[in-house]
Amino acid sequence: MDEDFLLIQKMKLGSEAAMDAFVRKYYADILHYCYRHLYDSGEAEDATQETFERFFRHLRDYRHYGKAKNYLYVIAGNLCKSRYGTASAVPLDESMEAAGNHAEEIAVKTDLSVAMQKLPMELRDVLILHYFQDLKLREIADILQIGLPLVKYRMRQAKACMRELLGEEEYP
Amino acid sequence: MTRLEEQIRIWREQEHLPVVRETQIQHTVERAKQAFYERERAQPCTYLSFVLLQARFMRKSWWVAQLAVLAALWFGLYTMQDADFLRRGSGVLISTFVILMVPELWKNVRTQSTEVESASYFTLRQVYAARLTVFATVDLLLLSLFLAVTTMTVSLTLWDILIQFVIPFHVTCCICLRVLCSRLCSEYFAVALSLFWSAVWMWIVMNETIYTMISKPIWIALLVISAVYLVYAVRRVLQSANQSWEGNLIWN
Amino acid sequence: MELKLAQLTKTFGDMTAVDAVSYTMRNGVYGLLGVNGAGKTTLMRMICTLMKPTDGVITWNGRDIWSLDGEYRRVLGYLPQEFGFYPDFSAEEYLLYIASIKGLRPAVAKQRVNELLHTVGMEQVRKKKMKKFSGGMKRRIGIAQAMLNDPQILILDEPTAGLDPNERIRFRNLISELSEQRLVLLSTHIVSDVEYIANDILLMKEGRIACSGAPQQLIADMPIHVWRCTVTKQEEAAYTRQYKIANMKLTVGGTELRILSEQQPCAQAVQEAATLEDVFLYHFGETGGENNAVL
Repeated sequence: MDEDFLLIQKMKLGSEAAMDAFVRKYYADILHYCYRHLYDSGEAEDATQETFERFFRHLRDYRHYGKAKNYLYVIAGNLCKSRYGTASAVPLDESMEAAGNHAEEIAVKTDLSVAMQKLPMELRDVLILHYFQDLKLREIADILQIGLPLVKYRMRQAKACMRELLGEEEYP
Repeated sequence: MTRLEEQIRIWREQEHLPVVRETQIQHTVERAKQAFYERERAQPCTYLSFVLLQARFMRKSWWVAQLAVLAALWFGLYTMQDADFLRRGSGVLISTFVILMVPELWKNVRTQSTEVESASYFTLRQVYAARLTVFATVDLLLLSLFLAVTTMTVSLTLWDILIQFVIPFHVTCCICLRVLCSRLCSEYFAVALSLFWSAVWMWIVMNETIYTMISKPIWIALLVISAVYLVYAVRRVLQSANQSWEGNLIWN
Repeated sequence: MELKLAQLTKTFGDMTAVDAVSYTMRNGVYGLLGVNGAGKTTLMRMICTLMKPTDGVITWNGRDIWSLDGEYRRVLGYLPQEFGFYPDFSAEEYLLYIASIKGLRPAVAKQRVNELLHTVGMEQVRKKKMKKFSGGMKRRIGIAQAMLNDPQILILDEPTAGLDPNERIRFRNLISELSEQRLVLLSTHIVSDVEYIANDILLMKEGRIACSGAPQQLIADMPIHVWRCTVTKQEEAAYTRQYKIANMKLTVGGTELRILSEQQPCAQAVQEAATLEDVFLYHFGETGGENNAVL
């Protein structure tokens, strides 16, 4: 049985302690995921709140087949996609200020984030889910409701696009 | 690692992720809870959930007592292996088994809580239906278990079972249910009448002349009639449940 | 929200308990005043769908309550005069049970039971068995169960009968609080219960609504006046026979009588402001006070 199974059952019966525990367990991950899509902490917090709100609103109908965490990613992903239009560009001054004197790193940052923003949403998503949220490809397939081959394909596409955008050549 | 992965690694080390704020978490938990409760409030309980909830509120000790009666009956049958005991003991014990349902079924009437229960979403009729369903299910399980164990350990034919157990069971149920929806709705009357019936039954089966006089078709007829009346008695209970206030001159 | 009674009648054989009652209620507190036998409980039972009217119709927001069935009962909360409960259940268990038959889903039931135990001040004794409760505590649980489904219509039949004065005041305050967004119909033969909290009073006599309106209106509409005078013990009997006496008080100077009369009963009588209790006496010929609470 999945670790969250008991927790979900308690939540469905109205255990406020269980609900609290559930939110605390996944809040950080979802917050970071939203931030990586939206680049704004305020917006990320809003999106995270709404993600949990939506999850709880449909808790009654939720059947715990897979991982609750993945389902949260689905909701968050959809929310970020619809907010994508309002998301602002990376505040370049922020990253420059924080990086200090490491010129190369600044360059990496700026290039990388700008490049990622230029990617189509679905390719960016697989990159974020795999390299930033540390999810396995199989989990990503579950979240995006697509087959594993398609996930791998998008991954390859994403990497290829990134390389092109960054003007890099791959070495092993 | 590829160049890209290396870049991502560096990026992650420098990333300024938003700090998780306690106030925000609490706010999120609150909003999430409200969303949950809003949805839960919007629709009533399903009938199935209701039946299961009713089971929760029924005192389990009666079921334990019923199990004990069946165990005693089995023990008697097993140790005696005696045809006479079969006839004598079983009728009474089966009546006892049914009588143990009476306290739970009479609960609403005894405590006069029917007034509140008639004005709620699930009315008295549905409460009775749910209770009868729960009893039927549990008793079916208990009886099946009993019969399975008994037929394996004691030499009984299906015929014996039908005559010695099923008929008195049906009749006692009919008596109890019929008293429940009659004007004289008294627990004691139901129990007394049931015990009277089991005495009559005992007399019939112990009396050799009468017992041998009753041929197979008559037994079968009795079985069928008692089953049909049982169905009728259940329907009567459910129909009369919500009409307990009509025809009562309440001096207020 | 609108609960409308139209020509509502209920007969038992040749006895008419409710006689062609018509009234419309919206949110607020309605006090149903009357002596025992006036038909109050029968009327309330019909509103709660316990009994079918012999004639007439009850509608909720324009729809017949019998055809609305469960939907109507979802917005209804009822506390009967004879409040039966399961003595072996604890307060919490009992409320959860009633929540289940009111169709509340388990999570909501739990939340509401906690909230209401707090509202009626019974949180500390939630695990205690019902049979161990005093009359006042039982009534509080009674009102908690009526409120479980957050009803829009709250019907309370003699909720303060048998309570001591303190509990009665507490109850009044509770009702006042709860009546904010609701339609509360409260029946009683104790006038002080509803005098201050009711928006409208209905006086029920022998199955009919004798008169209705805001308390001040009823007082103003009363055709006779209230007088206060002091008489000797010997005169007392004569006055008692001749007039309706609202109150009798022994004082140093004699017996002080509060008399209902159109004309001044005696030279030294002083006119007083009428109260709702006087209105009750005028209509029912008996005092609607706590003295008669035994009835």
